[in-house]
Amino acid sequence: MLGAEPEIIKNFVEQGQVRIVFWPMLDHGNASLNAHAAADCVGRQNVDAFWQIHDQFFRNQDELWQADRDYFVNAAVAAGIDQGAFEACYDGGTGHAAVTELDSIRRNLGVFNRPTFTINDQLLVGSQPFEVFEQYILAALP
Amino acid sequence: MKWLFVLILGVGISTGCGQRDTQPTAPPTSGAQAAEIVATIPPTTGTPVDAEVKSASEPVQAATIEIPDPTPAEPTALPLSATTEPDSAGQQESISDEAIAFNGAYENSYFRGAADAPVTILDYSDFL
Repeated sequence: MLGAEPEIIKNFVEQGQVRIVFWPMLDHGNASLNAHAAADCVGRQNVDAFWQIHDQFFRNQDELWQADRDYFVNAAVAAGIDQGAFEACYDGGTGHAAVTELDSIRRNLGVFNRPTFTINDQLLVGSQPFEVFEQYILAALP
Repeated sequence: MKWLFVLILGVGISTGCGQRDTQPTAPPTSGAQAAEIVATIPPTTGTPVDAEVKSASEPVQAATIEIPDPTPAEPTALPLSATTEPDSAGQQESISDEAIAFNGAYENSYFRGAADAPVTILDYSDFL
């Protein structure tokens, strides 16, 4: 997501009203698979670093089309992740298997438009400004 | 009388020289130069001045276009939009109730915020 995400975090997540769950969609072959696997391997060591990498990848998504193993290793190390552990996860296929499974689940759920959001029991399809999320969140709050 | 004649002659010469000295020192603008200056002024528009004045005097109609509210008054489930990008398989959206109720409860997914927050946003996205 990113986009409206910083405002959602500031206004709702930090207030304890909203949690955001990230679910990978692998729609661009190996480029998607490797990027999400790298993020997963980072998250296995440090969840905060996962979100750092998550935001970084969305901001620099043009770079991901050509990103290779070294690119992801460097990104992980820059996020404070142990290089050896990251490489073991990435090269061993742990991250790849995890995100492939998540992608399979969302396909089985029938989620094919990108991006897709659910806000509790409401469906929201396509990139949206903060104001739209805000309306959905306020309607969902008890 | 000779001295009187010399005096008159001297005054006459002096007056003549003074008249030449009072002529303007700036070069005169010839007709050709004036024509050249006019020719170098770029035309403003091809519209006659009269036409412009007429149109300016006509009443201006107020715009009647209504700007729609970009967001719905109340959140509702949105229909599937053609502006979103289908995945590489080109499959059409047919999201199930199961997906809507799914809520992202899965061990390998990452979330930020309080685990017991009353609202969960499940974000299905690709980094690319």
